[in-house]
Parts: sequence; C-alpha cells; structure tokens
Amino acid sequence: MWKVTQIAIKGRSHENSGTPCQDKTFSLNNNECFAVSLADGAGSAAHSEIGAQGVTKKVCEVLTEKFDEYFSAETSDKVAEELLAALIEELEKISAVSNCDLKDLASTLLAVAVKNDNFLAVHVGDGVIGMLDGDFLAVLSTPDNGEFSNETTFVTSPDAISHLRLYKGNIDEVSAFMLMSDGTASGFYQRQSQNLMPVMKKIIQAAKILPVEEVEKGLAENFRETLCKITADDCSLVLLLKCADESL
Amino acid sequence: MEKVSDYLKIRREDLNNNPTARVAICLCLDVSGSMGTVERGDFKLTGKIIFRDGQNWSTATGGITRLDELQEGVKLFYDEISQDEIAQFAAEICIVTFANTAECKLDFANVYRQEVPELELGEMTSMGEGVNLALDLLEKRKQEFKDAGVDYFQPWLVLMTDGNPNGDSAELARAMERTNKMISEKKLTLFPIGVGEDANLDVLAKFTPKRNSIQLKELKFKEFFEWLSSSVEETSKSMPGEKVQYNLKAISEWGSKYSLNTRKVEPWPAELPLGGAKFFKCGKLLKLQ
Repeated sequence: MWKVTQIAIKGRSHENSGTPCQDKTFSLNNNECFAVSLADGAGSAAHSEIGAQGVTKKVCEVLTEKFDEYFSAETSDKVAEELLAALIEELEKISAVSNCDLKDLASTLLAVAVKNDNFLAVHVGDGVIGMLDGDFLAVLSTPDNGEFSNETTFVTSPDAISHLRLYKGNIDEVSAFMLMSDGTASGFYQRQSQNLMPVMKKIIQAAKILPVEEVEKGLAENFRETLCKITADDCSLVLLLKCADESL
Repeated sequence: MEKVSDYLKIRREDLNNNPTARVAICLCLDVSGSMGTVERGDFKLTGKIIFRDGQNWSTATGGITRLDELQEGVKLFYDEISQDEIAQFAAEICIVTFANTAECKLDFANVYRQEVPELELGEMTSMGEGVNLALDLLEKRKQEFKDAGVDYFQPWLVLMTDGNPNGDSAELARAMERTNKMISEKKLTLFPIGVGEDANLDVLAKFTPKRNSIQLKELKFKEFFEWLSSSVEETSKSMPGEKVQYNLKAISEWGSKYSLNTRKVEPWPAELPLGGAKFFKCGKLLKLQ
C-alpha cells in the first residue's frame, strides 16, 4: 500500500509581500494507481498559484487514467505531446474562467504515479524528484535551470515540450518517492554533487510509521524553523510512501 | 532515547548549504585626463596649459574633480551592498579602469573581502581595450562559477566615460561587436553612461543593439550608485522565473536616455531599453526506456 504526505509552506518573500503561496501539491488514488504532484508557480506570473493548482490536479488525473497506456508506450515523444496538450488545455480553460493569459498561469511541474510494480514520473523545470531505492537515497530527476539563476522552464513555456522529462521503471526495492520544489531543494539537495541530504531518509522512516496529520504538522513546523531561514522561497514537499497496511 | 517523531526534527546542520547565487558586476571606468576636470570646490589656476587626452587644458590646484566624485560613488556602492544581508554575499564586483591602457584594478570577489582601490588619473581614453578586458574577466568569472557549481545571474557591465575613445579603433569595434552580441543573446546587462557635456553618447549607444545610452545628470554619481546597489539587492533576492523589477522611476533622478537614432537626450522612459527578456538553455530530453 502507498500513503501520501504533502506540505506547502509560504516563503518569507511572499509573507513580506502579502502574496499567496505559489507552491501547490496534489494526490489521487484512482484505477489502482497512486499519483502525486507538485508545482511551483512562477514569481513573474500574475496568477501562477491558480495555474499550479490546475496542473497538479490534471497531471494526476491523466496519469492515473492512462498509466498502462503510457507505461507500455515504445517512445516518450507521443506521451509527452499528449500529456502536455492535456495540461495546456486545462490551463486554457482556467485562463478563460480567470480572465487571464496562459503565461499568467506559469508553473513548473513534478509528478510520480505508481501502479502494481511500476512507476511513471514527469518533470518540467526546477525542483527535484528523489526516491529511496533500498537503502539508497537516489535522485531521479534534477533541476532544469537556464544558464542564469532566475531562469527555468514552465509548463506554459514555448519550448516546454523539449524540456518535459519522462521516466518509467520498476519499483523493485523503491519504497518512497519525493517531490521537492526549488525552495525545498535548496536545503535538501546538493547541487554540485547532485545528492540528497541524509536527513531525508530519517524523515521518510518517520513518515512511514506516524499518522499523516502528525507528520505534516511536524514537518511544517520544522520547515518554518530551519529551511525557511535559509531560503525566502516557498517550500513544498510530497512524499509517496510504500508501507505496511497497518501503518495507515 | 530518540522517538520516531524526533526523526522529523531538522537541524540547520542537516540541511545543505548551497552557495548564494552570484551577481557579477564589472565597473569599467574611464580614468583619462579629462576625468581630472575640476567640477566644484575652491581651486587656483596655475597659469599653465597642457595638452592631454586630445585637448588643451588649463591646470589648477585644489577643487573637486570628476574622478573624486566617481571615487566617492564607488565607495558608496560598496557601503550600500555591504549593508544588505543577501547582496553582500551575492554581489561580486570587479573594477577595470582605462586610460593609456586597460587595467584590472580589483578582481572579482565578495565585497567583504575587497577594499576599494584609489582610482588614478591617466591620459588617453582606451575604451575598447577597457571593455574587452571587462568582458574577458566576466567570462572568466562565469566559468569559475560553473566549475564550482555556483548559480549566477546575468552579469552586469557598467561603462562610464566622460569623453571620446582614442585607443585602438580595432579594439573598440571588437568591443562593440561583443557587447551587441551578448546583449542580443540575453547574456549581458550593460549600462553605458556618459559623464559631463563632452561624453560621446553616440559612441556609447553603439555598444547596445537598441542604440541607446544614458547621460548622467549633473554628475550625480551618488544617486547612480545608490540606484545600482538597490538593483543588485533586488536581483540577488529574485526567484527562478521572477522578472527583476528595476526601479525605473528612480533612474530619471540621475540619468537621461540618449538615442543614437534620434540623436536626442530625453527623460528616462517607463521601460528598460537596455536589459533583456529571458534566455532558456536547451535541456535534454530523456526517452522512456
């Protein structure tokens, strides 16, 4: 069985400016498939938190519905095109309702879906997707930044299709997946070595055993006390955890 | 004994200390003879006339020169940056001066590890040589950031002159070609600033694709460097995807826009004609296995 823990904490920069948290998370259990997602709304986009909310929901719906088809696809090209088209279609609906441009809804996107012994992962932009493979904390997908520090790619970027990364594999010894926004990655991911910090393993161990509410409350408090002191950005984390039925 | 809930506790030392993303700024400054022009204060004419930097000059003792004002402005820039909690770690400043030759007076480092050098007057205005040296140093520093895994913002080049270039014309043409290409590719932010009435704003405008330069109003070095430090502070705090908002209104307090196309000096417009939009690096596409 899988369980999900997710938090999104507003960073100091948005606290100071009175703007909403632009990191959004979502999870869905459908068709015997668990999907989790995270999106970091662009600071320059007027309604990026709405866009982030829209794409996190949509990607989970698409992945749980089409998991088998996508997993058995021979190449990623068609899957990437179809998935991106579904996300853009959803954002166009939102832009019509919200009376804004598509670019006002810009966000990154990270998602993982698991079904039986297989997984699919999707990544556009910065942030990190990690996994606990046996006892090893592995990085599945690294941040995709531009040359300069304040640049990345968004779902709405004209060249998003060439930056959309898709992964598939067998779960085997994998017992947890982690989705991190750029803010969270600034504390838990070493850019130069491309490794995750060991403390993440302890967090996963605790999150597998403790009730979800307790974990989310504890993590939120700890993020505010430490992580939010070293970055002014919003910080979000989604954990998809494989655990024994009784721990649920 | 540690409880399971203690596993959720995160200490500062558990987190990675990724280095602050850097803003590399090169101040490329004219220290030719004309920068010794006395602008204010008490002075006495010596009665001697000398030929320097392409012109005849009456000489004087005392008074406050353009170079003195520039020196104070640079010091103020350092003081302002040093007082900002993020910019003091993000900003890396380099100072290149140009007169008879171009010289790196201060190589890139964080401001808290630097001392502002004394600027010394020379004679000629080797502007092309100065800009080429500045661009070489910016490129070298960018490579060092890449090698060390340090993130960085689009580098800035501040070019300040009060006169006409009279160094090697091929070097000047090469410098203009390089800045135009880099600005078009969104790899450089350039501030070409003319000081005083004799600054050749046409030449400065040729360093940018839009053919614009900035005339410093009434030697307002202090106001310019205050604006520059606040812009560095804003940039150093910006997040991925965030467009840095320069305080455009504040530019009009120290500078006017000059356009080579219209050959007119105009009030600063409500747009940034020198900066650029975003540049996206091509990423790799990983195929499903």
